[in-house]
Amino acid sequence: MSAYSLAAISFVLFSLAAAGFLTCGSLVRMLMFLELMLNAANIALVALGSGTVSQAYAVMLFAIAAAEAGVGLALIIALASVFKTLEAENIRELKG
Amino acid sequence: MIPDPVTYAASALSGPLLLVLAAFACLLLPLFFRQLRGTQGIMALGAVLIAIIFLRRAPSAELSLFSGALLLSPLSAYLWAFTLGVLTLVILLSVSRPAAPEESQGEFYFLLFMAAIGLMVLVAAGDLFTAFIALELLSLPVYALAGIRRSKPGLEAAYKYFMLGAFGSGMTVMGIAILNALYPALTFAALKVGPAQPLALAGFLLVISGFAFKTALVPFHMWVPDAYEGAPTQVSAFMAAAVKTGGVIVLWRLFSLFDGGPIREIFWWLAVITAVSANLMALAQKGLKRLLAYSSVAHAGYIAVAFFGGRQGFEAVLYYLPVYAMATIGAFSVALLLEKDEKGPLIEDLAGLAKSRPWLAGAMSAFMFSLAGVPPLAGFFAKFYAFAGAVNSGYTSLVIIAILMSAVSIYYYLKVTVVMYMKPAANGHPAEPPGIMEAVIFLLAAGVLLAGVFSRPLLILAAEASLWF
Repeated sequence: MSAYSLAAISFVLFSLAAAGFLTCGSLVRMLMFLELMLNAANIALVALGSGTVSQAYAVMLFAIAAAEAGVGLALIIALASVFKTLEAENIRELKG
Repeated sequence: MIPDPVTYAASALSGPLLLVLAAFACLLLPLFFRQLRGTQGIMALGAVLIAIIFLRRAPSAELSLFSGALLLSPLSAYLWAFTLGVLTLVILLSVSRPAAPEESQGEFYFLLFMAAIGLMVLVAAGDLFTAFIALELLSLPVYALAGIRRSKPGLEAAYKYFMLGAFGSGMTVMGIAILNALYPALTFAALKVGPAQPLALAGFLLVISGFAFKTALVPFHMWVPDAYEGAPTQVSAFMAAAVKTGGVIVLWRLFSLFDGGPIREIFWWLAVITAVSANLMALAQKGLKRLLAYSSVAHAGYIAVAFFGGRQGFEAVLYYLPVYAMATIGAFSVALLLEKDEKGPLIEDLAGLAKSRPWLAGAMSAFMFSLAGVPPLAGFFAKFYAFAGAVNSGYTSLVIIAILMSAVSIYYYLKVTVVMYMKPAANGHPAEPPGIMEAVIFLLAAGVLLAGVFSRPLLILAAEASLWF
């Protein structure tokens, strides 16, 4: 598979993930779409980038994606135990 | 005496390294030594003060460390001093009114230190990827800090901030991936070649929108009011003063890559939309913290106007950031002092403050007038320099819009003052003996006044720092 078709896959994946993030209402699903966005960007980084530096960037991005998932899951667990729901529309303490 | 570059780099880098040590000390030591529990705030304060001692006057040169990932210059020294100042104030506020429950004190200071280190790296970052990693180091702890009380408003603020912030990060990563394919390196100097192709433009757009989320430019501001309202007030102050600074510096670096063309046009529209809509939305706010949130968005718009002033504009931005930070941290401290629940006081709750606590009301009016830009307070000069630079570069229409909106903003800032001085108190404010909080508030009020009346020293520092961008 050429680098360009890989890049095309990553762009499609990124757009799908962004669209999914913006339309779905469940927090767990939103977190999954976020991870998908980061991983799509990672594919583009490796597919299009030249040299070892881009691959080093990709490895660092794994770490960042993991940290983000960690914070996100921690927040979701705390939200689930306080609000007893994970639908974004039911979590409305603050105005607006 | 100005030290030679190597000595300078060693002493400058010991600042952030010391903060890393202090962060782990605050987190871990109380677990092993029972008698240290509850003293994390004092430990944190001591560590920051020591880190401030390590600040040195930078030699007039740009030191490039780690193959260009970090750039040390008078600019980074200026912004590191700013960061440590904000950190000290936020720690003082949290020592006097703990933001986190007893058992999470260590985590609170750990996260606060990590965010501060992220900001220090971010303002000194020499390439886009380092800037992105630093941005994550700055934002991930702040997401957690917003929800550290595990209460309903705090958690809602945290999740909204997290979701939109992480969405912005995703866009930034995609932009970086595109730019990485098109440019030989990601250092800001290498990106300066300019976008030859539409794909590069798309990459820059993605990166800029990611950073605009952090700076809270409209239309990337949706998280701001809820996050500022629900988060503990100390953390809101940190968000307004520190997180915004990081975004502003990187946006400035990206902005100055272009001499014209579509990216400048996009910044023009971002500045206009931000200044107009934030001020209009602020008019209807009832909560003090929500008002300050919209005010923070509006000030991001004024800073974006200053971008158009070239080097003079950057000088103005560097003066603007500490002046805005003093006023907004001061206003948040007053909110913290008066708050009864986590969402902070309503503006009406300030009624009668001038009678029961005249000094506090005076300080609060100083912050409000400075934010509104009334002479002789520092906020006026900050706005004046910011707009003057843009006018000199020929962006008069932009400045006229900004000045008009800034006149609109006087209405809601004045409303706070009017409530404090004209309205009788519904239920009196309990008089408390003055403590650290009052000391911080009066220090900041004096700072807002002095930085306006005697603005030269700060301006000279800002001018010197702006040369090294």
